[in-house]
Amino acid sequence: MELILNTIVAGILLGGFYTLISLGLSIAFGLINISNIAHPTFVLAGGYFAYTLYTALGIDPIISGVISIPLFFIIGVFLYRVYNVLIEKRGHEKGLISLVFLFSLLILIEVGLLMIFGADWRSVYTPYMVQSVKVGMLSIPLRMFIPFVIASIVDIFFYYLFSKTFFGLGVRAIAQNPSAAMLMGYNPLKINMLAFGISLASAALGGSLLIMIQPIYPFSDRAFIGRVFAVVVLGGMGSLYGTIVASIILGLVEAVVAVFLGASWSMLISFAILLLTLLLKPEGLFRR
Amino acid sequence: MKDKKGISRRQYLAIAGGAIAAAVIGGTAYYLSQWRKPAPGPGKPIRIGLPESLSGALSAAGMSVLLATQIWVDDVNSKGGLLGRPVELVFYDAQSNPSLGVSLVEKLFTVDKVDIVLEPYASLMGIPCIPVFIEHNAICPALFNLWGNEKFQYKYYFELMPDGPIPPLTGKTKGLFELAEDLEPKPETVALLGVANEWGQRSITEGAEPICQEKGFNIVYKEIYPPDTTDFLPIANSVKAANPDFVYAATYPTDAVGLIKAFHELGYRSRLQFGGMVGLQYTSIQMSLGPLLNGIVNYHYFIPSPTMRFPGIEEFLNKYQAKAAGLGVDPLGYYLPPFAYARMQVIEQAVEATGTLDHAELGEYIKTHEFETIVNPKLRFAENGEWEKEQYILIQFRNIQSSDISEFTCSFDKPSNKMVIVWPPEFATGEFVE
Repeated sequence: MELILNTIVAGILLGGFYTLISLGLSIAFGLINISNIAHPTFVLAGGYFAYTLYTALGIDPIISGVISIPLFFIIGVFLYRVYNVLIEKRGHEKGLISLVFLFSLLILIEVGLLMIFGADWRSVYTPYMVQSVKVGMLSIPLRMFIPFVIASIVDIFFYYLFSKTFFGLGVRAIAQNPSAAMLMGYNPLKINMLAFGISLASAALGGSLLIMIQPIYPFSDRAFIGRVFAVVVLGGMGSLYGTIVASIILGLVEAVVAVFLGASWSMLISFAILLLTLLLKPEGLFRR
Repeated sequence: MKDKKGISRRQYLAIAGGAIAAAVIGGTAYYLSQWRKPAPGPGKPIRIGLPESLSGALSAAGMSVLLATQIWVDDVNSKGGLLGRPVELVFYDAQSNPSLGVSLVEKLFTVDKVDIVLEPYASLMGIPCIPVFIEHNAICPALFNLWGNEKFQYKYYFELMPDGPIPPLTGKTKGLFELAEDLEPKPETVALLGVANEWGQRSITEGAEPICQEKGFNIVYKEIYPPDTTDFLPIANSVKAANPDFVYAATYPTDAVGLIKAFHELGYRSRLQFGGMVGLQYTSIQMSLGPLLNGIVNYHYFIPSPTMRFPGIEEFLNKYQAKAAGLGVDPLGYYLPPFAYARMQVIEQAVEATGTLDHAELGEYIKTHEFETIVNPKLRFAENGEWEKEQYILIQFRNIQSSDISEFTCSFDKPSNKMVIVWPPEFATGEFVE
């Protein structure tokens, strides 16, 4: 019983972390139609930002994550502007050119990180990160619990932002029908710039927590590309609620399968569930 | 829309893009200038080719290999070069991509026409390149291939990983089990964990399992997990539930950290763990774990210690450490760099002794002679190219208080009380403490 309970808790906590690093992609890919393959790279960049502040100023990675939000927001706004001018405005066939642009960005960031930080693993060490909270039979590691809590806060914030505010409704409106949204007074360019900025800001926040979970090096983003896209697609394009549910599902599946079938089966089962879901419900679990 | 008084948005973006491109190109040029140096001195240089992983998953190790090799080039050139000729290092980034590594080896032979080609670090990269060396009938200087010559049995292959002539999977794996055998009372049960790659998988199936059978340890849990596993709590929970007397783990760096953290968070510790973790030899990984390492026993090949004070090793480490921090590679360099340097010493001594760059002569010389290197003063190779005598150690981490680099810095004058060599007796500086 102890094993089962701890496995379920581990899966939920892992799902919380997946939520944090996937929500931004759900906005970019699902709402503003940018298949941002470089999203995990921005997560990684956020991790390096936290590392830099930790080593230079002794700042805790959670605080660094908060500091990174406005910085990466501005970067996201600028990048979307460049993307808009270079790709969207020129009327290029968005799919391939867009992927080339974003893939190039991925490589530039990775190599930039390599040149600045070197190839060695980077990590942070804070004593509370390796503590666990014991609740009866449960052992809840803070290293995973903190990202889960922060993910929950971000979830609530995004729910409010995208369903209760003029801006958030505008993002959804533009995703559905840009022309009609313009008639309602929305400026698609400005809205999408801000949305992409939010996407990257959330990625950076996730990165500052990634470095609490494991050491990073300039190419550790690649381990997450498949996972984040699987979460967004499984959850349903444009559905933030779906992203949360899909993250938890994948986290639980990974944990439970690892214990009862073997860790080698985890990714197989996870992607089998994704495939099955798409066969039965191609739009994902929750529609936009 | 054009601003009548200033530059247009398009011009602005063009300028910004140009500035970024200039910064990237300039930064790259500066970065490369730290690594690439022309051969000094007169005479046609002897060119040595190195296709190494300078990006990708193996980049941390690859960069340290490159630095160690360059230190050797500087050293040998300061002494007048090889055969009176300066030495030049020609290197390319193999990007941790095996097929690219093979292509680069071929390029170095056929296009660059270098005199000697080195293998890239690690089995993943090195073993696929061996046929190219065979095709060119060239010496094949390997660096940490896991039993790389097993299938090829190439006569000019030599390996600097000191696992010895017996299968390294059994050799490097056996240390922890031999230590376990001597515990009182003798452990009966064991859990085996391995990452699903060449090292982890074969270490478990071809090393640990046969050893367990031989020594009578009952395997109560076995797991081979995918390399990109993020969370190790489920596995740690399963091990805890199985409650083995000791745990053997054959991992790579990131999963070593994940496993150790997960075990710590569960508050679980067996009598003896883990033995085969690749990663616990790297300074950055050690620093990321800090006090969590206390009690863990793991393999290593070398740490500075009065029992491992080989000729020249101290000077090499001083040079390496002076340059390493600024280049973002392992700052202490105890694991790979000494062996990368020793590889070049073998080549240097073979070339000077034979007076030739003929690979057949060099290959025969390397197989039949002894070499004085910074990792072994009397290094000899067996028929299969592995070390004639294995040389690896088990260290136990103790008394580590923080994640500061000073905790993991060892000295040749006094044995470290934080990284205690507990096996073999030849190099031991202390006894295992349960």
